[in-house]
Amino acid sequence: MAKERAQKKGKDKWKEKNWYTINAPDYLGGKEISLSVGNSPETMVGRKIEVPVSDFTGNFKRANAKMIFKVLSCQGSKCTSEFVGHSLSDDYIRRMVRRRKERIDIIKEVVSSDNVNMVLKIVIVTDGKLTTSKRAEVRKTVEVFLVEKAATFAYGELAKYVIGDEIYGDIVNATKDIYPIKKIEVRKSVLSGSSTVPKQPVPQVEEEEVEPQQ
Amino acid sequence: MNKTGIAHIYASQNNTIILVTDTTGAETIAKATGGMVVRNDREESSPYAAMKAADLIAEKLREKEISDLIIKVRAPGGSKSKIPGPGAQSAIRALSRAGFKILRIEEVTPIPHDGTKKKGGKRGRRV
Repeated sequence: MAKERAQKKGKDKWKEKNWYTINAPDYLGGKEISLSVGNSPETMVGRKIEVPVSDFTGNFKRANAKMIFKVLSCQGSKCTSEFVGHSLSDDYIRRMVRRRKERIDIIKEVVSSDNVNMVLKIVIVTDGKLTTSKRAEVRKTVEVFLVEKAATFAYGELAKYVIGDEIYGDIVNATKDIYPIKKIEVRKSVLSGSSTVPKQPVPQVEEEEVEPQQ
Repeated sequence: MNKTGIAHIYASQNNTIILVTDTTGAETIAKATGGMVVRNDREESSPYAAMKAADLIAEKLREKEISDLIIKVRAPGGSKSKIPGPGAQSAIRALSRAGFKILRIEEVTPIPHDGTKKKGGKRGRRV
């Protein structure tokens, strides 16, 4: 028994492990994101890694946002990943919303031009309290804008657009006739399904004619 | 690219736990707690115990050639205390003094959006 224990202790599991490089997807430049350790390439698949947007793009304004990548496959010591979304820190959102301000939350699933679905969660802060009808109008306008804009992008371009700065100006322009907006943030984006296997549009089943019972 | 680890520091009023994983969080690289370095139960959460635990961690990380660290500090959170315990600060300081490059320090205490009632009853804990 004691011998068995000694043998178990003596085996160094760390030495059996290797380091793998995780690369960003090609549509986001394909550069190295990080190193990770694992027993075999198969164990790496499915792991998620968080990278601050400021580290990834060099845009220091976006230091409080994180991009999330998921490992898709590994060849040798190199792993490829896909962008599965991003999230903003909760503190930052909490600081945005103060007294006498209105917070409007918009959650919308959009489809890119290559049939990849993504859920966008947007927070809008306005300078004063809104009436219910104004709020509904703002929400509807932004939803329509997001759906139309996303349809013009492939998934990679959509990912870049979501983590970039352009989206804010575009939303302000879309809603400026309804109510002046103080702040806008894409609080979270979540890939729905997979970016490599796009969702197929659901085929419409033709209804069979039911024979009348005699 | 340097080998980076994430140091998850859980500092409560009763203990300090330091767990270092790789950047995906899937592989544990090193683990040490305040209770591993002191004899008395009441000292487990002390800054001294946290410092000693961090030194243990530093030794293990040097063996495994980790040079950079991302630090994530948390308190118990939820309906319990949202302020990290006394060991958090000294553990961070000990890790940075041990020669690791600290890339960033994050506060990751779980804050409920609308949680459950704090234990202790209506009139609070009566000591």
